[in-house]
Amino acid sequence: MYSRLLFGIFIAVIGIAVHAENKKEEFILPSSILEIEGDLAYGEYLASDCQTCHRADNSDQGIPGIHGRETIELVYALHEYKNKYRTNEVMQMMAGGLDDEEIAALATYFASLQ
Amino acid sequence: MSINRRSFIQTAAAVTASLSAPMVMASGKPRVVVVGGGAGGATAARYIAKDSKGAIDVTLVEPSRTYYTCFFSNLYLGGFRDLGSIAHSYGNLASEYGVNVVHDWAVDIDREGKTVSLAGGGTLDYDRLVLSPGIDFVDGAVEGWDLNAQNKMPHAYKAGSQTELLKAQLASMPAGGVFAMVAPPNPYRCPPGPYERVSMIAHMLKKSNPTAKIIVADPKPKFSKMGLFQEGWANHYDGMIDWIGSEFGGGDVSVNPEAMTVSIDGEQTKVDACNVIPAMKAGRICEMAGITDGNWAPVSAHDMSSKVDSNIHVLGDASMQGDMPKSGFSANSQAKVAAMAIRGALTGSKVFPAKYSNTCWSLVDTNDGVKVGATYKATDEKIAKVDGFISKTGETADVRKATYEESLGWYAGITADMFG
Ligand SMILES: Cc1cc2nc3c(=O)[nH]c(=O)nc-3n(C[C@H](O)[C@H](O)[C@H](O)COP(=O)(O)OP(=O)(O)OC[C@H]3O[C@@H](n4cnc5c(N)ncnc54)[C@H](O)[C@@H]3O)c2cc1C
Repeated sequence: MYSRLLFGIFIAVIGIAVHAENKKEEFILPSSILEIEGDLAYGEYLASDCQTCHRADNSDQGIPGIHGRETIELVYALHEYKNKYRTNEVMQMMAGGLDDEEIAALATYFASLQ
Repeated sequence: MSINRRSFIQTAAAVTASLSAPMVMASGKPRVVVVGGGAGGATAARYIAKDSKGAIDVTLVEPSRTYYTCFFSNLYLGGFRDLGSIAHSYGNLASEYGVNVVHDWAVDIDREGKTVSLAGGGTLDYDRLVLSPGIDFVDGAVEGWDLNAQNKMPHAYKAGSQTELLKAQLASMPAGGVFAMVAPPNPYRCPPGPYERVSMIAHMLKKSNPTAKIIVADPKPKFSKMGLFQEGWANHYDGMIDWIGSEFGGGDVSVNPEAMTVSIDGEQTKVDACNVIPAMKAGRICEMAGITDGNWAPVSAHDMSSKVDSNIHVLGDASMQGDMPKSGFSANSQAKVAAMAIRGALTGSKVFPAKYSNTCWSLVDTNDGVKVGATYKATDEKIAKVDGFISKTGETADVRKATYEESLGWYAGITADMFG
């Protein structure tokens, strides 16, 4: 969090144009979202939809493996897609259909694997 | 469906009993029978077995020992995949997940007795039945064509030997020869499928037979991802493909498989290879179970259960559910909702509101992938679209390449999700 903030300020100060790929560096989630406790069982059900593409063996051909990643990383990634700070249309759509609790549930579930 | 006098008389009593005594199983464990080991059925069998951790007996009935995915079968035609790479077996479902895999045809369903009869003579009892038999063709849909003609004019809309046959026929076309496709009317399996196929055949012919021609007779005025395909055809295969939509008589078609001619809007053409994709309906077993309305089996959007019999869940292409296209991705997504609902009903596990999604990738030429997708929710009336996207015309080569690579990941993912 803190380093993200500093980085955002740094970019603003030196005046680099913030284009799509850099946008995520200034994307900050409030603690009210980061502190939501994910429901593991709900996450497991929701995750079944993700596992059509994100493979359990974590191979990342064309689509990255996400099993066992940190909760905060997954929460950020999903909110960044939802808010279109990341570009993939499939993920923008999938995350766009999730509310804050569902994102927390999914992140908690995927982080719990391995 | 076998309604004999005895089972008919017993129906009323049975219904009352099942309402007042849920989950009373004669032999202990509740039993689920899944008919059809494709995108819907294999996924359902795997998820029910995996998530119930042995609390439910799962039997999968599927005649073939090898399942060839229709998805990526067009890439096989185009030379991007070999046949082995789209072949899958049921070994893991049996050994890793404890699914009882029975290689046989389901030939009858007794809904009152809750049994499935097999062609080999056996009978299976069920507490819940899942039907995911895919599609069959509507008799007489294309004048001059029936299943007896499928060797001369293959449909290749169930993958495997039909796809191999079509590929061989394309490869032996004379230089400058003509390939014709008769495209199907809505609704049918895989809306972009025929047009991805045209692209892949054009790709293959451009290399091996560059003066060959492709004619598509289509009973529809427009089709899935039309702008994207037409852009791609102009960019990659200029002048090779003649698409004749319904406004130009594309729906007025008859074929003569003996003479190898196709007549479109009264004009007869001699062809060297021909792919007839007739109108479709739910796999025949749905009709035998007495759960169809017209060509398809209507289901509840909440749990994919039949509107006629709530102990039967119909998945994938055979179901009439609302807004989702008939795709492998859809069937897989529906299977997970049904698996959750079935586990909930039989073991009391938690049931969450249904959510569905679909994305269909298509390959237009080497590294030129496009996609269309949507998310859906359950309403009392139907599975209703919530949100969606489609690739744009004029995207950069990098975007198209990334889309193609994503489809490779999806293929590996969904087949692992189906077969373990
Ligand atoms: C050319 C082509 C390209 C496609 N590309 C894509 C794509 O890129 N992405 C995508 O998502 N979808 C694609 N699809 C669509 C996809 O293949 C189907 O939508 C999907 O397979 C439907 O799943 P299903 O379970 O309903 O039927 P199927 O996967 O067809 O499975 C049905 C199974 O039931 C068995 N069966 C039938 N009757 C009985 C019986 N009486 N007893 C026992 N078993 C029985 C059959 O043997 C079969 O194995 C494509 C289809 C085609 C034709």
